[in-house]
Amino acid sequence: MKGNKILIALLIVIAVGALIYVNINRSEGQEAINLMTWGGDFIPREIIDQFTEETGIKVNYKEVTSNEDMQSLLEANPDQYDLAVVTDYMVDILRQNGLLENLDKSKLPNIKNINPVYQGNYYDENNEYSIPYAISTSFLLVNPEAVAALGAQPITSYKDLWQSELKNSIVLIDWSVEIIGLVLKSLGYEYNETDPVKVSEAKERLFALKDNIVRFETNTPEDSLVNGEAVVGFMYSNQAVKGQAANNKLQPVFPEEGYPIYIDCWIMSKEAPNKDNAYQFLNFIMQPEIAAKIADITKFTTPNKAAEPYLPEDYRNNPMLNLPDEVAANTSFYIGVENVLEEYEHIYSEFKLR
Amino acid sequence: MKSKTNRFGIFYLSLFFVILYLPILSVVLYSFNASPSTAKWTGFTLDWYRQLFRDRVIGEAFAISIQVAILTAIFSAVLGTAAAMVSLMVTTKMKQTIQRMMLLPLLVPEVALGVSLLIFFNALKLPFGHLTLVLSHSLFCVPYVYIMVLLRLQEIDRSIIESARDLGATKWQAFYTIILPLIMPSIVTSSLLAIAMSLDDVVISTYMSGPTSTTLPVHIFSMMRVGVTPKVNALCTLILVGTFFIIGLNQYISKISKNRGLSK
Repeated sequence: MKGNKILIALLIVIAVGALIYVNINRSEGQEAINLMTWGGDFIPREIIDQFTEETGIKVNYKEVTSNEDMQSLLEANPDQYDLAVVTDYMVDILRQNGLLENLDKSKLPNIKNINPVYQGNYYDENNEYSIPYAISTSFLLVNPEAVAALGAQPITSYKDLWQSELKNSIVLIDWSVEIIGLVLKSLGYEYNETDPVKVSEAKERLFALKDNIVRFETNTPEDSLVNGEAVVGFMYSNQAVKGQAANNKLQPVFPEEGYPIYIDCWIMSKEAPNKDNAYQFLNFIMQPEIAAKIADITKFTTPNKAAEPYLPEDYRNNPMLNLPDEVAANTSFYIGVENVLEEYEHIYSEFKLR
Repeated sequence: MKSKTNRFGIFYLSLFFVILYLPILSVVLYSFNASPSTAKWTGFTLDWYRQLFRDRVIGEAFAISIQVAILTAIFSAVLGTAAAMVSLMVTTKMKQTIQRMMLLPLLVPEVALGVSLLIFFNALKLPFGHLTLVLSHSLFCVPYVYIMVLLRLQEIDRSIIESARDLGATKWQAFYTIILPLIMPSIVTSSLLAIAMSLDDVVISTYMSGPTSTTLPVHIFSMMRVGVTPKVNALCTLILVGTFFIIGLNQYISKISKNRGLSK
């Protein structure tokens, strides 16, 4: 019993300590905004602190793990959140469900800094509901020397991945829609094709790629190239940037058939409790210097055209991060994933079991 | 013959533990790696630990997680013990019903539970934050306390309680002086389990935490979009050390109480 009492006393001390710690860090009754999105440094705390310092508005940052979580939370509590950053397709869903505020541009003078290349997309044709924040793409990261050492032709397109010399040397992110999308592009079709003839053609082509794949890895595919296990990989831009930083022989290849783009956008809840503060925040982060700082910390492509002069040199000269407009023009979105997901998952699991 | 099987047994056991603990060991190892990538070992560093301790967000999330976990453990220990006591007193049929009802939250998929709790608490107009986190975590922690305490209760010789009552103890006195000390080890163990379960939860916490209370596991998972930094390896290592400490403490305590039981 004595030991148990010690343990219980210890737990209570920890609980009280934690309570005091949290309450010290919290000040009540202040102007605030509630925003929600992915965590880590997706919206750098440095920037948030700077905003709070300049305006006195506190920012409550709720961290979530997926677009779908944000959708559920916004649907259940539209009056608890002011702002969220969601991916392109989710803007479309939220817009159709009537959850989004039509943004008042007169309160957002800095919106002029946003590159028109990343505006007016299918999820918000008239730029009424969303402001692009972070852009990423997927493409091939290649070790040209290792490809040549295997006796394969240099890689410039998806088609080159099917060379028999590349046996066991490709690493891919592990998601059915992306991988079948890659195969569809290599055949000259578009993403999320539903035509059964084209899909079965893609299926056959996908199965032919199996021998060349050494690993499926979604979180750290760049490591396979860094440690030499693979010579070419299909991955997200931030992963490719990390891979190149670890091994400068690795080069990005933007396949000529085109590649996917993901645009994470700010949206405002229709029932946002602190709309004016939220407008202030949005306008704040669209300042060129701030946008450049965010881009440098997060290693996502910034849609802020005016930020370019403020970007650090290594960022500005990196084509994976500072996407030239013509590279950006060859991208496409994954539209209507829900229509193909079941079919693609089925093909994909069959493919992985082979 | 006997030594041969022993050798095989030892071989199997060591293989089992190597496979079980190798991934955990690699986390510990990489928390000291100078390179941020796990592809290469480039040298020893304590930088990630320094960064970790400077990270205000992780500190806050950890404090919230610990608070929620301990409150959950206390709350579910009380509720679970009470439920176990009740099911000892009712008819067998009733007991079976209680048991099935208790197991239900463990069988429902977490996402479904999370969303339905979200709608439910919303209808009750409860503010999302610590309270909703503790209530929802208790939902899946109570069954563990219930099961472990009930098993212990069933082992108790009923005649002890009856004789206490014969000698003039009130129901409450009998509970407090006889039953509670006997079931205390189960309550403590299951509370520790509840702390672990609560600290572990991501899905339900995502839905239940309000705009200001992000728990540690949610914070880590939400980093996926930007990429997980080696700070997280350092954090995992510290959590591991903390877990071993709690397990050790638990064993030490049960050893003391066992010794004490023998000396009596």
